[in-house]
Amino acid sequence: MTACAYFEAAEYESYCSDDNYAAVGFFSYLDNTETSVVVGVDTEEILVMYTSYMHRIAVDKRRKIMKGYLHYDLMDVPVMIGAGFFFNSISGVSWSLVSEAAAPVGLGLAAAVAGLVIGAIVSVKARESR
Amino acid sequence: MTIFEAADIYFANLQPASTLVGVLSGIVCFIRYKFDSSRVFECLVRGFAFSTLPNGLAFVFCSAYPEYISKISDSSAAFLLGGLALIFMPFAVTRVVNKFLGHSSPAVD
Repeated sequence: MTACAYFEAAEYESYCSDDNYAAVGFFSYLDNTETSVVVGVDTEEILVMYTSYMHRIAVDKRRKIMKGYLHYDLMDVPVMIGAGFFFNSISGVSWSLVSEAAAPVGLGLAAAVAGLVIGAIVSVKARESR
Repeated sequence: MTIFEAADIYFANLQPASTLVGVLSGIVCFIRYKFDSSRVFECLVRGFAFSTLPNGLAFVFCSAYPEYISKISDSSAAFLLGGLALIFMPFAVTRVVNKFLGHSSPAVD
């Protein structure tokens, strides 16, 4: 891979990442690599460094997203509990439409737990949309 | 109709009542926001939060008349959610108090 092709690829990557600090981080590498290319460092090696750098940023970003979903606030609690009750009651109503027998306990519990998770996600989305 | 007859009907239709209250409050919220699609999640949040009302009233009624506990439809899930609410609450409140007082705590970050 030539240095020219590498810079083209890198530039394309940085614009596509839609992540300002990633681009800044990359260009700080670019300053060093430009000097390195002049003294004859292999561009493949630089590309590997750049790829691992971008991979680390992507992992950090995923961790932040997961932390955002797992973190709960005081506002999330009534939404999660309410969603649990809502999905539990929907499962009960749906079961009563299908069968005359009493709804199984496991179905209600599973719907309630699913409701808790859905409530947490909806609450985070509502907070982000404000 | 006595209060107990009304309670029997209420407890027999607790799950449809929860669904109805949740759906209606979500729809009312959406109408109040003039069908603004960017606030759909807020309406969902409100709908979910309000669907606890029928079960909350049933729990309060059961505190006075414990014989009605067995009439709560799917009482195991109701007690699971009620218990989880009580477990979540102190941790969530602690975070809010820490934020309010400006205390640094690992839980806040």
